[in-house]
Amino acid sequence: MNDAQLYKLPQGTERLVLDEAYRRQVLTHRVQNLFTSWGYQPVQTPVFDFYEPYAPFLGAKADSVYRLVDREGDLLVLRSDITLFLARSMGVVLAPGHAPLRVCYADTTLRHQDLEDISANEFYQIGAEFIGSKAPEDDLEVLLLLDDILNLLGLDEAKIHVGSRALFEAAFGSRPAEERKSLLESVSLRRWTEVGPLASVFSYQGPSSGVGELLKTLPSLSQVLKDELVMLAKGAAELESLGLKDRLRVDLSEVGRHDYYTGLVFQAYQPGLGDALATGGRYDKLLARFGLDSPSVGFSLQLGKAEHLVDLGPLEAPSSARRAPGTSLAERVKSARRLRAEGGNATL
Amino acid sequence: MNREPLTLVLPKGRLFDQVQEFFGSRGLRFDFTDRKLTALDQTGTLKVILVKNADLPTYVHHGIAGLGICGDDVVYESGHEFTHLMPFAFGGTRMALAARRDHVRQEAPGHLTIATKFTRFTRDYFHGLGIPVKIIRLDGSVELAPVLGLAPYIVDLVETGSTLKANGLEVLETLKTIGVNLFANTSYFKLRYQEIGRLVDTLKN
Repeated sequence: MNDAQLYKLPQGTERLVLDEAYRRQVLTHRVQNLFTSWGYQPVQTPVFDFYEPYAPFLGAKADSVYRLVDREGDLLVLRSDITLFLARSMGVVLAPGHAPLRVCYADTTLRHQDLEDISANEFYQIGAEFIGSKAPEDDLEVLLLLDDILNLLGLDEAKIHVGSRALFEAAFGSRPAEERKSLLESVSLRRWTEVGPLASVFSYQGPSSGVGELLKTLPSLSQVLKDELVMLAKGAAELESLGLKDRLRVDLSEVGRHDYYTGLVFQAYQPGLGDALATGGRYDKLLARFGLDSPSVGFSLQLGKAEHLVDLGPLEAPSSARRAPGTSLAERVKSARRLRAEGGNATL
Repeated sequence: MNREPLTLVLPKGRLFDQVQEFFGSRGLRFDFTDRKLTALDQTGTLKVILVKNADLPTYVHHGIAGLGICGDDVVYESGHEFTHLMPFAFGGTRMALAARRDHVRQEAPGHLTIATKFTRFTRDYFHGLGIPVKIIRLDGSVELAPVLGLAPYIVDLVETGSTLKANGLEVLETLKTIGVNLFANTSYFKLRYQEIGRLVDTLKN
C-alpha cells in the first residue's frame, strides 16, 4: 500500500469517527423520533442497484455517479439520489390502490465531487415522503414537517422558499425541449432578460399576500397561470397562519432542480451554507416510471451539511466516561451499574 | 432582519479600479489601506474583499462571500452557477481565436491544437461545433505559443489587439463577447434578496 492511499479518501465519501460519529447518531435519533411522532415509517434503500432504470433521471448528474459491473455483467449504480432509489423500492413493494403511506429515511448518498469542492459531509441525508398523497393539504403536511425539523435543529434563521413546477409548465410547457430546459435554468438563476414578459411573474419573492397584488397588475395572464398562482398563494397563506410566517416565502423562481417534479417545489436555505439545505416537492409521475402509479410529495435535507450548526445541548458522550470507582472488578461493576442506572456512563 | 453588511468579492487589478469608480459614483465608497484585503464601504452596506480573479467564483460558490463581480469568462471556467443580478457597461472584452499572421494551416481538417488559459470554454466551444481540439493549458503570455511553435492557435481575451499585433499574431475569429456582471451565491441571494435588491437599485440608478 502506498502512503498516498493511506491518508487520502476517494472523492465522494467521508470518514466520521468518535465524537463526531456520536453527534451524528444523537442527531439522527432525534430526527427519527420526530418522524415517528408524525407517523412516518422508516425505509432503507439499497446501496447499489441496476443502472438502467435510473439512467433517464440522472441528467447532468450522470457524470458524477459511480457505476460498477456485477459478476453477471450487469451495469450497476451506487445510490446517488435517495428519492429515485426510494421510488424504485416502493414501486416494487406497494400494490396499485394502496393506502397513503408516510415513509422516512436517514442514509448516505455516494457520488463523485470535484477535488476543489470543500463541501464535505454532504452525503448524509434525512428525508420524508408521503406516497399516495393527492390533496393540496398533503403538500402542506410535508412543509409543516420540514419546519418542525428545522425547529428541532434550532435553525431559526432558515427560510423555506416555495414555488411551483406546475406554474413553469403552464407557462412554458409547450416550448421545444431544448428551449424549455434553457428557460428553466434562466428562471432558477433569475436571468430575466432571457425569460421574456413572464419575468414579472417568476421574479416574485415575498409573502403570500403579494401574489394577490401581482395578479392585479397582470390582468392579461392566462387562466391556467392564474389558477396555479391562486392555489400556491392559498397554501402559503394557510402555512403562514399556522405559524410559518417568518419561515416561509413564496418564491416563483423556485421551479425544481429535477425534471420529475410536477407541482409544488421548495428549498430551505440556511445562512452560512453555500447551497440549499433541503430540497423537495411534489412528483406525481415518478413512481409510475418504476411500476406504481401513485402521486407523492416529499423532501430531503442534507443533515451532514447542518451538523456543525446544531447545538445538541449537554451530552453524556462515551468519550466522557470515567472509570467506575472500586478496587476490584466486582466493586467497579457494581458502581458502574449504579452510575449507568442514573443515566451516566462509566468504564470498567 | 440581518444587519451584517453584504459581502462582495472583487478581483484585484484593472477591473477593480473600474468597479471602485462606478460604486463611488453611486455613493458606495471603499478604500483599501495598509495592504488589507477587506474593506467596509462608508455606508456600512458592503464588506468588500479582494481576491485573485480566478479564485473569485470559488469564494462565492461556497458562500464565503455572497456577491461577486467578474467577467463571464472567469465564471464559465469555474463551472459554477450563480444568480445573475446585473451587467456592467465597463470591462467588456471578447474571446478570440488567433494565430500568426503568416500561419499556414498544416493540421488535418477538423482538428485544431490550441494553447489557452480558457480550457473549459475552448473545449466546449469547439466541441459544440463538432470540431475536436487538442488543448495545451497555459497560465500567461499565451501569445508566445504560436511564436515559439508550441501550438498554431490560441484562444484568449482580446481588447485592442495590440499585444497580438506586437507578437505578429492576428484575430481569426471572435468566439464570444465577454461582459462583466454582478452575481450572487444562489442560497445567499434567497436569504437576503431584499437587501440585494436595494443594492442593485442603487447601482442601476
